[in-house]
Amino acid sequence: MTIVSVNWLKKSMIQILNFYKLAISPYINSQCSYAVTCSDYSKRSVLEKGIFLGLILTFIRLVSCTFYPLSYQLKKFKLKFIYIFSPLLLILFVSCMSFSYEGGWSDIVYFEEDDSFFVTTSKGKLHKFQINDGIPTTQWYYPKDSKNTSYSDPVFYNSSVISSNFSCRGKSCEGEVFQLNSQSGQLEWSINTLTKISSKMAINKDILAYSTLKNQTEVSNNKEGEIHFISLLDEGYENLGKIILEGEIWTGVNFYDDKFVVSTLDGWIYILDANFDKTKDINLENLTINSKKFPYSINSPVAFNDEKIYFSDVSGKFYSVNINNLEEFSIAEIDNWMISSPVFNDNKIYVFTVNGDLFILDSSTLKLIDKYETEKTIVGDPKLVSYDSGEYILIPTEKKGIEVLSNKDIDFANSLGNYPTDKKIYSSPLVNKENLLVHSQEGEILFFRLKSRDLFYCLDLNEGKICD
Amino acid sequence: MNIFSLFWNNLIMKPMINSLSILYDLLGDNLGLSIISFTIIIRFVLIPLTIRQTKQMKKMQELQPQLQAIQNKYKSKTPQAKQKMQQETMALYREGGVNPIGCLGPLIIQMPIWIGLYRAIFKSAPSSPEGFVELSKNFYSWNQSISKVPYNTEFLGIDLVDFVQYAPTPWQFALPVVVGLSMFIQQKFTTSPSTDPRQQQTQQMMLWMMPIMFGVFTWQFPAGLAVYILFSNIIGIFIQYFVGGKQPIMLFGKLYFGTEDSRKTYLEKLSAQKNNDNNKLKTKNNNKEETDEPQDIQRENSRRSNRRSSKNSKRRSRKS
Repeated sequence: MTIVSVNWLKKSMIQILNFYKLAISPYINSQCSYAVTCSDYSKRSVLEKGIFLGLILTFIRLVSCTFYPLSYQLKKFKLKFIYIFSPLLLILFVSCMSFSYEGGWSDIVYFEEDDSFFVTTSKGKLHKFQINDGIPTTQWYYPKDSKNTSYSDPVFYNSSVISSNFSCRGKSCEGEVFQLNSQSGQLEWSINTLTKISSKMAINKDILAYSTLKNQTEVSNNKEGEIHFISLLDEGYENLGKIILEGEIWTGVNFYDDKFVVSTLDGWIYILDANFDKTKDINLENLTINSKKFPYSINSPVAFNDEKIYFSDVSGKFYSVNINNLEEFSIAEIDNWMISSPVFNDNKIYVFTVNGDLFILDSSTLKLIDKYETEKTIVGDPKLVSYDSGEYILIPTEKKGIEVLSNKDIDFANSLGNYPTDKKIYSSPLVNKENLLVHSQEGEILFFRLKSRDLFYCLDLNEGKICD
Repeated sequence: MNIFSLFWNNLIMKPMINSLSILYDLLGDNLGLSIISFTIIIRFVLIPLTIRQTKQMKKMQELQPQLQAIQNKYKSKTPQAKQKMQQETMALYREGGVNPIGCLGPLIIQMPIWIGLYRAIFKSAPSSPEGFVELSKNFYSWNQSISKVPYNTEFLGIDLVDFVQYAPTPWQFALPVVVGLSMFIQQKFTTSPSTDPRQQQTQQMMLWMMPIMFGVFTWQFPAGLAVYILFSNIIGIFIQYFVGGKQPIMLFGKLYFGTEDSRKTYLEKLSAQKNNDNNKLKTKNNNKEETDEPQDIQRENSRRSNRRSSKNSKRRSRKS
């Protein structure tokens, strides 16, 4: 099949060259200083050396044969070298721009109260959608127009939903934290900030904690993060204050067991009191229960299980730390970065690294029990599912859909196919009743049947309709 | 496209990001020093090419008289004559062992390095979670300096990842100027007076355009890339000076550097160039006298048309 198509390509290339020789070449001033003309040469090289090499040879020939005369020609028209250089530099700039999407890491959150789903897309919009009679439909979204992006999962407070978005131009950013009525989508309040807002927001009773980077327009050596505390009232909000931490905060604020836990890129773990007295001053000393600086920067999310904090750092070490005593910790080598949260199963921890390694660790001692390689990029949080007496690990891979591994002892970590997607996935899949919902980075929600793995609907949230 | 990105990532991006990180690790967590030492390494790797380039330029200059002879031979502007002239120049170059694009070799090779470094600097200091994912893919598995990752990008009060235009005030103007100046001096060293007007023109243009262009572009580069270009130029000046036979440079009508011999030849060439220019001016003036008539006619024509149009407009205005 490939040989046929290559031959076909070759033939069409030669036809194009023939056409050029017959129709175009006689009417333009020949500039070639070689005896065998360039079109003949390229025809021969394509025939003999194949398309790829042939075209490269042709290109070299064209450059070598036209560059000198061309510069002479340009001189004659009083054009200058800048006209040759500026396109080159233009190419430089175009190639430097990246057109990749940002954001879209938000998980889909299920809201039981009215059987609906919430997600914040890469465009920074919070969408609510429901499945009515088997067909997913968008209920509302906020804000109407947005050039922003978002990494935040929606969080709930009574019957309201809170999320955030931000946009950056260079290093000057603008962000918004907003609360909406979950039924109508009415804006209840919003706070504007001048920085990025990191992914996770945490709520304890009526206190909302979210983290931002410090205003980045100031050039300062110590990169700092800020945590803002908001008191949620029946109507509106009250700003309680903020604290400044050492190091940028990427993963946001986590809530576990009456504590807010924050990790920073400078390697700090801060454990803050989540039941603080609102009448007191908000500052680092009053709030901190415990804090410790670890040797390397922490770039993974923080996970909790059984009074322990789990995270990993940039040097490829996986930590388990006692939440009540930060000095009491154990380390496992995972040799790569972990960007997804680990999964806890019985007495084991499944740790997934970015390059696709799966480490099975003992949850108390962090001893390595086993290691598997999937050779896929894993960014979103994997999930455990069991149905029909089968147990499965669902792994969102960056480009190759949701990979399904067996979670049974007999054939552990054997690949059992996948839920195919062609868009990047940085979020965790959501199992809901008989369905599996996947949020792609470009704002599409893919609905699979959990058991048969059929894609039965794809909702493009940005367009508000079925995807192409 | 896929093949291209594979080549690009494996041959340029990965080696660059990894070597930058290793240098960063070795040089006491200083990104500025790591970029500078990276520059030095690159320039030393490219030394054979630079030497070839300077030799080629010398040969080109030696071929100038013969080239001019060919140009005088084919003065008519018919396409055939042009083609023949080009063929003969190419033949001349081939005999002399000169490759006209050979001179551009180092520049063309540096192009992907600039682009690569531009991207490598951004990739090494990710500003989004995607950036972290991307960066982790670019590290070799054996590279232990991955553990240094959120680099300290501060160097002499500049954020190397940030664009020069956002740098604190003295730097954002100083960096483009310094880069332009280093470019200018480097160009000054590479050029020597020549009797060929065409080459002279090219040299003049390169001398002024390159520094200005690079100065302007530096404004939009991340400061780290500006540091690379600056040091690349400084090293280039040294290499040029010692490989190119210790040529002197002329600044504000005074000669600097160079040995006595090279100064002498420089002055000889300069005087030859001046003589040539004077002769040219004379011939130009002669030509002007010859072509005075038709120009006058043209002028008159234009005057007439001007008059007409003005009359018309007057008429119109009266009518209205």
